[in-house]
Amino acid sequence: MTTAKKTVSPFSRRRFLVGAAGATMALPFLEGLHRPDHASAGVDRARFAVWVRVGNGVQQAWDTEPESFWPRTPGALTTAGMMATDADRATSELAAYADRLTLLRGVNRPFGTPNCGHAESIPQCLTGAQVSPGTANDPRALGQSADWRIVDQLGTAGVEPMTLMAGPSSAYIAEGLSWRDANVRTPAERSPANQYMRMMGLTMAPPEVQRQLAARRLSVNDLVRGEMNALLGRSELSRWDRRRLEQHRDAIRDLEVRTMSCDLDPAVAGRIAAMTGPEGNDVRLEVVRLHMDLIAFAFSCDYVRAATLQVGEGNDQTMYTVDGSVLPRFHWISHRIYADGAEGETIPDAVSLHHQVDRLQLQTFAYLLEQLDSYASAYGGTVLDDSVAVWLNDLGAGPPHSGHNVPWLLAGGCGGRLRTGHFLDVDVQINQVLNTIVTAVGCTNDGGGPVDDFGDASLPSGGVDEIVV
Amino acid sequence: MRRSQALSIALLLSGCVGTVEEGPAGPPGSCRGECVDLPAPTSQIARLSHRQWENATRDLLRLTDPSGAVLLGDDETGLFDNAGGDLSVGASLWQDYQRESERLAERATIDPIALARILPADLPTDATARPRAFVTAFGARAYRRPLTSAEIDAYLVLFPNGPVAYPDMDPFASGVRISIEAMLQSVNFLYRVEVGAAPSGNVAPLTDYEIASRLAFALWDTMPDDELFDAAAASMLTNDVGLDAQIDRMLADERARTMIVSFHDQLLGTSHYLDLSRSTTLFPEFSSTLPAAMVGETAAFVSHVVFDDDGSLETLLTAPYTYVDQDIARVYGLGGTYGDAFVRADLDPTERAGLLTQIGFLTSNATSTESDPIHRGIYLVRRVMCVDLEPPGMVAPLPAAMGPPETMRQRVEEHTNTCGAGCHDTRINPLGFAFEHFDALGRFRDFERVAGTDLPIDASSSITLSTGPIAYDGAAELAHALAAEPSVHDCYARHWLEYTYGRASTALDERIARRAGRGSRLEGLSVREVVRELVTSPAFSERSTTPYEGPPLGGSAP
Repeated sequence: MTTAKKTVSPFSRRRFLVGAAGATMALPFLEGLHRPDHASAGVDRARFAVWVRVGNGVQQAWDTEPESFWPRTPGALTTAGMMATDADRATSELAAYADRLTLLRGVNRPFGTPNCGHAESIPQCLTGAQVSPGTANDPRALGQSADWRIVDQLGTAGVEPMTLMAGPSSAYIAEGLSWRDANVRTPAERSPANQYMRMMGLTMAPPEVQRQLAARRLSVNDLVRGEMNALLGRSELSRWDRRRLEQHRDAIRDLEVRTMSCDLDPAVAGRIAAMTGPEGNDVRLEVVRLHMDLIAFAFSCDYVRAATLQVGEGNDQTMYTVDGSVLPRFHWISHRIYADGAEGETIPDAVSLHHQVDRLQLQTFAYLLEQLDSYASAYGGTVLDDSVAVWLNDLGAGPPHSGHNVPWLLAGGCGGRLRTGHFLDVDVQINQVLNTIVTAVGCTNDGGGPVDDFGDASLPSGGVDEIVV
Repeated sequence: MRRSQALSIALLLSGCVGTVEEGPAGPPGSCRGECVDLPAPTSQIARLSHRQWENATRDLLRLTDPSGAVLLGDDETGLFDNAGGDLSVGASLWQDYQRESERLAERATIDPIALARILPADLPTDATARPRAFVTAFGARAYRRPLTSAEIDAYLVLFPNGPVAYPDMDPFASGVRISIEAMLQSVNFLYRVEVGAAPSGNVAPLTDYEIASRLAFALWDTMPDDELFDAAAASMLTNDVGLDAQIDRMLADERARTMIVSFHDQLLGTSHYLDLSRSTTLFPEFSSTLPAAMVGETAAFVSHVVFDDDGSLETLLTAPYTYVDQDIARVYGLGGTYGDAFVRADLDPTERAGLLTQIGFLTSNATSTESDPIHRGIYLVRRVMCVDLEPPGMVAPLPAAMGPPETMRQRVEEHTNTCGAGCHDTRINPLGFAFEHFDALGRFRDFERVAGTDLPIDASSSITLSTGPIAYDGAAELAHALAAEPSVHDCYARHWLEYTYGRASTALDERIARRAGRGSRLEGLSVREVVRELVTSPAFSERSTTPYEGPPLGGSAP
């Protein structure tokens, strides 16, 4: 696919973001928002991983329902083949990236879902861990997620994985992909503007003012850290309090003034500024796309090495629009009835509608790939070549909401470490795919070798050899 | 001092518990001098909830409207948002704190009128003395205690950086600005730090200022006001008379009204109402504005009962009225004309009673098309009776209706009978069945339409409570029975303890909660008096010297 490559922008191209948070927001570039120059510095190249989660299962073969998702035949993928023979399959939406895809059919959720198929599936997606029992719609993963594993081992100290969601904060089943540690969920940001502010800061500043900003913040940070250290020096603090305070102290970062930086497309900044009510149904996919813009931008600047994006609440209730028609709630479509449970009025042609939503979701994933592919890599190629972008559904097929054969679609070679251009039938657990991905990004086990033990200890070790270069 | 002697847990367990639990409820504050409440282990650095942060910045800077801050949401593991000992600050939230501190500092200093509101009244005219005067006075409000000399010195070192950082501003205002930036990011603002007094045996008394902060965040969800600070400065909060006076004042304040509504919002999970939807084919009364109206109904009702009616839990559970706007009135099927404002509406007392028959609760605890007696029952067992249900293991969903038409009750009975008591608590069904007169939108019905057939509703059942077996027919009768049940009052008081103490309750708290619950049931204590009972306990004004080592794994969210 041929795209224009975005390049390093001079400082003067920085744009204002007007209107977000009721303020005129302009953009100095904080530490991390600077184009990496690892190639010339002689350090290992940066690699990135992003997971995009969609819910409610996909329209794949189940019971009497037809196969509408996967290509017909495992093997090599070609754009022509996906657009011709398999044009009726949802995955054909990714045809333009055929040679950079790995479609995995036969990935299985490792553990059951005693109370809620949605709420207890999502925490397993990136952890391969069991979930805490008996907590209904708010279960806890009993292990760390892969995004945190990556930033813990490879990231800049104090930088968290980007944890994003497009969906309402009032949801009964909320976000659940990212787990800092067992039982410690990472809250997801719903608003692209908030995430952008977090990445950028608030005050427009030429370099000399940046230096003033850095000096001011340093003096404030020093005072704040001094107080924290004094408090940490008190012997009566519990271990728990001490850990919390140390986490806070370690999160404080000082501003580094640099002269070279990368720049977000002003058109995207404008869309972010124009976005109101980011939790609303009608802007759901625009929010997804803006989050994707920010993820691609962040990777291009080596702001962070791992990101997650959850599309919709646990049982995605979005009413998607297809060809100008507003569909029933997606969760209802996945049940084939106008209801969340087992009984209700039948939705006519729900199978077809589910397929259309699948296509919509994969069109949106293609947007992410396009954005990643639009940034030139410091190592040649594009940021997509440096990355592995994963599209997954936490459930298999729609009506049964099962954990069998949950789709995992990978794109990007992760800096030459992953084979691409094929559709594989496998029989693996999620944790094995996670072993492969975190290893490809650069993580190692305690012995310096490939990560082979991610997830619950009871699960099979090792990765998916077929997709490793 | 309210208590100075060290007391052992053994003493508590051997003596006072039995006396208090078996004896009369007594007036509020009845524990004083007669028995001992020991504090449970508590974090010494309880982080402000986002709600508290928003309110505290507003009040500290004397803003006329909310600060409008953007803070990354918390991963709450409990029922309430203010369990500060379990709240943390990661990199993203720190960035938010930094950004918002800078924004608010600018807002408070760039406008001379705004700046004037936060300067001390006795600010010296001598320019060299002004920084110290500001840091000392404003800092005491930000840190919620007088600053130490070392802390003042640190800010006096920082202050001159203001004119360098903001050369276009008035030099003094710029110093104020950078000082506020730091104070809003300080651990002493972001947390309730409790390290002020030396331990005495198993407990450490709180300082007057620490008590002031506990009270303010418990009763108002914000920082102390000037009067409370004055009381702390005069050591009035470590004696019963002074403490009682402040508590009474605070509970009569409008800020307590907001807090009490917030408590019930979180207890009922009303924020989730906003995510509700129904097919307008099946439920023509549903509209896009109805979910927000559901939240509004409960808020208006709670506010009225607690502040304008008798204020009791009994009335919250049994009142034969509610508050409706045009959306809610439509669901109730009320005649008359209603607008956007909530107004009182009397309901049929044989059909409805109190909070648990309101539209939001009933709709939230239903499927999108049908009543859900199991989840309605589970809510009552867990949140109204405070019974910790064991994880059920693998739950089989309710099978689709097959064969001859059956009511939801019949289907649930068949389904749960095959499961047995081992996986389905025997209290769930009888409690949930009482609500079968209410469909998936909370509409009252005498018949359930199944496959074109109208089947009569049976909402009668029985259950054994602590006072013995009770029988009832419908939710209204059940609500009255629950209002007389000791464990319900104890449970309600336990929730209030968690909210006002800002942490999960422990076994050590049970006697305090039960005393307040008994007062609610036997003495007719109002909700505000229950709260008063809890925060006048010595356990509220002390901290345990046993380290707090975090929440139980898994959280406790419903």
